[in-house]
This record gives sequence, structure tokens and C-alpha cells, in this order.
Amino acid sequence: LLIGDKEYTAQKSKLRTWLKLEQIKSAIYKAVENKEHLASKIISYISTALGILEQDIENEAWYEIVDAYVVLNNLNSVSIRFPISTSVEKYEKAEWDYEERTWYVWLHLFAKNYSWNSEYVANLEIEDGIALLQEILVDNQLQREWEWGLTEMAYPYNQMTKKSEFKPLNRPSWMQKKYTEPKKVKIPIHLIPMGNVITHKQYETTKSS
Amino acid sequence: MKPLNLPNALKLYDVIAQYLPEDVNIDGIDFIKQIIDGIISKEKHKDFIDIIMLSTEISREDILELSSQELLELFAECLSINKILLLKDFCMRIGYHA
Repeated sequence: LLIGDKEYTAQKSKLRTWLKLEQIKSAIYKAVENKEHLASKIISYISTALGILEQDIENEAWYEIVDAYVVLNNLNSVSIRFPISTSVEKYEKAEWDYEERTWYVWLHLFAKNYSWNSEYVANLEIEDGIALLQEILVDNQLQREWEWGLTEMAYPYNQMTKKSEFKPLNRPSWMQKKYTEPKKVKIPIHLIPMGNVITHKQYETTKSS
Repeated sequence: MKPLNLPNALKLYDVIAQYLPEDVNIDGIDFIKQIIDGIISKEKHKDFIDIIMLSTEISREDILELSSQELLELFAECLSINKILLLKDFCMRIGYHA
């Protein structure tokens, strides 16, 4: 990567840096909407990804900065489509949240589950980190489902059927079954109404023409 | 003249975006003409000076003393050196609206 008269080597970031980059990226999206601090956030992204000072690049030509941002953003994109990354749940910010917390949450989970130290976790490959995080969360969810099944709350009484029925614990969106189109079934001819039957599709096309 | 850094390039875009022609495949002369026509029709002559001031280190007073020929040349150079079409493309792609 050539920025100004200096050449930099772009490398895919490790987990800790990547988490920082993701945080800056969401700040960039916000900055685009608010029209505030966009340039400084893009410069911050590049300096974090390359491990250099912002002052080293902030006065260079804008198109070199943008080029570098595009290259680094592509380089640091996740190469596997993890179900967890499709999560649509919106979490409210907790009272005990702070700016750098994401890294500590990840570190806490990995240290707790695998007894790894912070240096080892920080240097994980991005995809390894996400895949393991997903496994930890799946384990936790299945454990919670098992515990839920042992409580009375999981079997509410149904007044209509006069029976207690099992009510499974809600799963996060990325663990739920994907919606699939219902299978097309041929209707036996004797069940089709008599006369000129116009399907909904035919009706729509004739209406539009 | 040096190309602008990113913060100033975005400031430039904020000023000039409203005058940039939709059709970017026109020739250079028409391109500049349409921008200047836009500035004149909106009677925002200050924007013309601001664009030059942002891109150069020339003061307002010095700009006002330049001949029309020099002003036009300077204006065209500002757009060219700052790759204004590329700037527009980048801003559109990321959804940044001036």
C-alpha cells in the first residue's frame, strides 16, 4: 500500500485488532449518517489496521487514503458466512458497557471456556475466533434449553386442551430454522372447481397488461 | 497545488456536490461549464471562491485580484487535482450526501 511516499504492508488483522476495526467501521457508518467525523474515522481505521500513527497519514491525498481504506476493509472481511453474523437481535446497551468492552467479552468467553491467555486470544485468526464464539454460544444455549426443560415454566397449562404442553425456550434468530417455501403440491383434477379457472398469477398478469 | 487530504476533500464535496452534473460522460469543458452555470444560476458566487480557497492556500483577497482567465484555470485545476469525479463516486458509494 502506497500512502504518500511511504509503502506499507497490508496484512489481515488478528482477532483483537479486527474487533477494534469493526468498532471503527460501525462508527464510520454512523458518521456517514450524521456527517460528523467521517474522515477521522476512516483515517483511524487505516492507522489501526496498519499499526501506524494517524498523524503519519492524515495529510496525504484523500484518494490514497480511500484506496487504502478499501483495500484494508476487503482484506479484513470475514471469509466464512457464519450464521451468528446474520443475527438480527438488537441488544440494548447495558449499564456496565464501555467502549472497549467487546474485546473483553470475547476474551472472557475464550479464557473461561478454553483457559487461553489474552495474548493467545488476541492473535487468533478472525474466522477461528468467530467460529469458536459461535460454538460457545451454541453450547450455552443448549445448556439453557436443557435446564429450561427441567423447570415447571417449560410446561404451561393449556386451558383448552386441559393439559400441560411443552413450551421450548426461545432461540436466537441465527439458531432458528430458516423459512423455506412450502412444497408445491398438485391438486387432483376432481378437486379443482369447474369452468375457466384463472390462477392468481394469470389474474395479476392480465390486470397489469 | 497539492491534492486535498480527506477532511478537506469532504468539505470540498459538501460545497461542490450540488453543482456536479449528473452525466459524468460529458467532456471536460462542458463539465466545468455546467458547474459554473449552476453556481451562477443559484447566485452563490461565494461557493466558487470557497472551492478555490479550500483547494489552494490563496486568501480571499488574493483570489479577488486574479483575472477571470486565471480564476477559471485555477478552478479547473482544483477539480482536476482533487479527482472530483472519483470523490463524487466515493461519496455516493458510501452513501455520504452533501
